[in-house]
Amino acid sequence: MPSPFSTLEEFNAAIDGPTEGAIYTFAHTPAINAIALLVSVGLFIWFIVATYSTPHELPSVDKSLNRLSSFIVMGLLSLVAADQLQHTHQTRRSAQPATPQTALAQSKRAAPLALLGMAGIGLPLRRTKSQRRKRSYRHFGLPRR
Amino acid sequence: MSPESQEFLATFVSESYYYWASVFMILIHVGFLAYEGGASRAKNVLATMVKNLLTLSVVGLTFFFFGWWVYNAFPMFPLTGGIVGPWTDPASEGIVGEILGLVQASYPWSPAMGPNVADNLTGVFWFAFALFSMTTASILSGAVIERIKVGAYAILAVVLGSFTWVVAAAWGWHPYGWFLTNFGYHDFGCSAVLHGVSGFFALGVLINLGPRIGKFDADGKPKTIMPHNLPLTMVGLMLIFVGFYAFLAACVIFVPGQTGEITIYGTPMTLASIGVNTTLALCSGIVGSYISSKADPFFTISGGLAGIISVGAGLDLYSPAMVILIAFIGAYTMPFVGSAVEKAGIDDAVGAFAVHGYCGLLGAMTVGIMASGYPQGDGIPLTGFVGQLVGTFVCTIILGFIPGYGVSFVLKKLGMLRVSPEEEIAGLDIADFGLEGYPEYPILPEKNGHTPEPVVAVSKASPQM
Repeated sequence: MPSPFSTLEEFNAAIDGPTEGAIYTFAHTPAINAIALLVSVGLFIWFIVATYSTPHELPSVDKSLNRLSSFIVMGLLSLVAADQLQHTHQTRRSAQPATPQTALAQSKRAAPLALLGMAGIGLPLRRTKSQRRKRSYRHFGLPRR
Repeated sequence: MSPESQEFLATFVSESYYYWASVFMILIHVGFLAYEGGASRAKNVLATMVKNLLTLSVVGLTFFFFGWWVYNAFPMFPLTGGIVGPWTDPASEGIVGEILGLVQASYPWSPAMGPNVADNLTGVFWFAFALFSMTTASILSGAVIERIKVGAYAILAVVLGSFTWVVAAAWGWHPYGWFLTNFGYHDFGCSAVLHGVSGFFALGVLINLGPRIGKFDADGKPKTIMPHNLPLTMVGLMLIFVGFYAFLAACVIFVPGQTGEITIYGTPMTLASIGVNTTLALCSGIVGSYISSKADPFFTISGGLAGIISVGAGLDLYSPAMVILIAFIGAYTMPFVGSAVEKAGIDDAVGAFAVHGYCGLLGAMTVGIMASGYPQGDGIPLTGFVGQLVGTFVCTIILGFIPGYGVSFVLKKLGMLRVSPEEEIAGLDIADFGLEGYPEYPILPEKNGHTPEPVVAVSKASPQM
């Protein structure tokens, strides 16, 4: 029985009884409360461990080669397409006098090239960073990775 | 100090104790206001908060009109006696005679309820009980936000706050209540008597009220309707915690002439142990629901309340280590109950059933196992499983679920329960008050379900009931 008392008289006179005033559950069998305390500590440790297992992962940046390859292929395709368009228009323009509208159109056609140029800038930068890192490892005598 | 001064000092200590405990209990309502206001969407924030304010009014007044009398008049009805009232023989003796004195002091026209230098305590006990009653009704208010009519909520709040829970208190939280005298029921912190009644009452209402528009998709799968201000919700729950300390302190009985603190059942106890056990239950409950809900902020902070309610019935008896375990189990399992209710197609906006209904039931039943065998008076059965089962069943089903379902069913049939779909989509702030809670921040109107065009038409076509 969780109760340390069997009669109301014992309960009311707990201060003079074997539990010396303790009226809580299992006061007459302290081992049970000790076990409960140990389990409580175990639950607390479980909680601490649980705080490290973040359930909601942040969206990570995709650094896979597939994405990079697709980007390069798309850039090359746009380059080819721009070159084709430019070639077609140059053929037509040779038969007509130059006007301000055609000059504007020429500048717009250069946009895909600019895009490819931006992509081209990005690739050497990435390589340069890694090379720089390798150099710094060498400088400190660390093994290559 | 003269004997008269000593006697008055004891009276004043008792009067002051319950007075200030009741004042701090008002923080529960500040907390509910912030909690539910934050849990609603921005288009319903004013309506939600005004509903909380109205809870104080409708329950406070009706508890004065008849609720306080119900508490004093119903303890013996129907098993050990009748309802005590003006029809009772004034010359009655024994228990009926003792109860009759309390009943006569509880009529709204009683001299004891007004300024009266011959009675310092009746009024302050009324004050404490009125706050208990308002708390009970506020538990319902969170569950039904964003679609219930104000009038329907007021009727349900009166039935729950000033009648059914009061009958439960008369039977299960009274020195002459038949739960105690016939079955040895023990529920110090009102786990089933208050939380069980209100949680199951809310469940009955929710079945008839139906879910909010957009809560479930075409296949019946639940969709998350995010609180518009989760930080406000969390602050609200922190305030509820503060108020709960006062609530549980007010459950301690100390009146002039006593030589120690006792429970309502006449058993010895200490206020200090309430401080220790409530704090441990709060801490353990938060930890339990944090783990089981995988750090969901809403469930995590609700876990503190779940922990306290899970140990409330035996808070005066449990050892601290037992409190940690029981609160952990209650709060750990609470989110699963909340999810199960949602999967059943019931839209409980704040998890009132899981936190109050389920944990209230669990808390009362746990006494029958983990605090069984305690004596509570001559001729009264020891605390045990059967006694707790009877009391918990009556509280949750007879006084909770059935009245909640029945009254809301009648209101539904009369078309008085739920606002129209147009009002619900426009938002209750516009439909009820013609105002928006955040007029300077018309952010994310589509997510809030708010389109300016139908608002004018709705507010003209279907004004407040």
